[in-house]
Amino acid sequence: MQPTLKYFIRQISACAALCVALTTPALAAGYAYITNQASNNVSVIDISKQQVIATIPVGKAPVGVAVSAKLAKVYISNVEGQSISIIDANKFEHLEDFPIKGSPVGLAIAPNSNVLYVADWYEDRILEINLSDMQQQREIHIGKAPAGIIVSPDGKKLYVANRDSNDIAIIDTEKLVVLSRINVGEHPYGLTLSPDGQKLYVVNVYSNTVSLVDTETGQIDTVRVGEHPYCVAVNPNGQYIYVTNTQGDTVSVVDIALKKTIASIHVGGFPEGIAFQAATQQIFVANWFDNTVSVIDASTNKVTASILTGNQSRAFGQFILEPVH
Amino acid sequence: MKKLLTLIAMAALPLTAAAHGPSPQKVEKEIIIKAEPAKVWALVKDFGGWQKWHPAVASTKIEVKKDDNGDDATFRTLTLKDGGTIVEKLRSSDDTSMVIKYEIESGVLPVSDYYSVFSVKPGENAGETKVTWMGRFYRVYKLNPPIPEGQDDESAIKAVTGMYDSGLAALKKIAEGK
Repeated sequence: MQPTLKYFIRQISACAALCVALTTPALAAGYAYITNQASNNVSVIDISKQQVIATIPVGKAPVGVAVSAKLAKVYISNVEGQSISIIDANKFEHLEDFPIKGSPVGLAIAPNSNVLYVADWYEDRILEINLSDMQQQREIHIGKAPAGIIVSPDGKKLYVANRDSNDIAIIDTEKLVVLSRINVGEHPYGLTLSPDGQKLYVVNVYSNTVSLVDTETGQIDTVRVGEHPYCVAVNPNGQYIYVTNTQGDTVSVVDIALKKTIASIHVGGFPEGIAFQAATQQIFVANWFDNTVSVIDASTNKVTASILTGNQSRAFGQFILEPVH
Repeated sequence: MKKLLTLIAMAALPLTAAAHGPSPQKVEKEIIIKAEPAKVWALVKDFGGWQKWHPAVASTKIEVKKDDNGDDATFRTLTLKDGGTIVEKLRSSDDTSMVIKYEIESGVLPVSDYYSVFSVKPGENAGETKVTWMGRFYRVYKLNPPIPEGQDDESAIKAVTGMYDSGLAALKKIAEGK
């Protein structure tokens, strides 16, 4: 068996090297779409180049981002403009603004890219928009001031952080009904799921904590992070989560097995959105006060770059579009 | 009856209004003062003594009491020269970094969820100080548009800008002994 296995590995390595060599230009590490609230545009960062390659005008006060590799589109919530901007991810061009009767903040796309979920900050509801035509819509009323939203990897559940109700709503995406609500800390805002969907990580802004929620049993562990935390990202093996602390100008690294903060990384002023990029093992952080994005090397937990973006960068949600291939 | 109506109004409000709006605003102001940082910091760190330099403040009352989390915290009530008051909570004050952080609990400034960082640093030249005052806050209005006049982002930014500009100019004057 041994020689066969070695041969097999060698073949894979050779193929991988060849594939990379042949397709490097197309196989970029991906792009980060950073919403700039005060300049009403989106900075597109080419992750392999570590620089802004396009600036796309959108609606007023953009905040949330959702990406679809399948559709090659990026969706932006313009909370003051009361619209969703649609971006062509191949041409880095603004396609259209889709009006929303409400104030859209959090966005999430189903894994099959069929529907977009929109959290309406003031009207306490989630809108479901069919992405094939943007016309077929459903809605569900939930807790107060829905903020962060995310869909389970199997697409069956939608998790919503109800900021002013201090809880999480779990929604059945087929019937669009609330299955349950789980109390977390004070003012839950950003959230994310472990890659296997078994753990939900919720940031509690006023409690300075993250709730680690078991999505099957509902059991919760609470971990203290920095001051006024906002958003959270998870690494691909689910070992660590990274939390932005807006009033600490830091990112807390939480070890999930140990259930505690093991490092604090100084980034730019008022860090908000955060995302983990698997291919390069880097963490991208949008700094609202400094108009920059900090890049963290996940192997060292050190900031390796600071990229100038637009005014008041937020990047709320899953803002990195990975290559499809 | 009037009391009852007020109670009803207060009870009805949270059902529709979010804790704050969705778009934070910022103001950041900086000034170079020709005085030693220690002298400027002594004026700034005195949480109960901003009337000594800020032209809008008439007097300050300091209180130590429990905050929402049940922890002891320092609060101040600023009485403004035009008669209004602002209640603020001291978040932290650090002599080493010369940074003071505070937030507004309530008051006449047309803002909500206001958080501020006031930083004192040595300037580029000897005997100079660089002072930075920054705030992050939301407008007062917490519902969908139309936004009433005086409760919008512009009103909030204008009020904070006015407070920072007038305060920093006066701080410079007093610290420089003019």
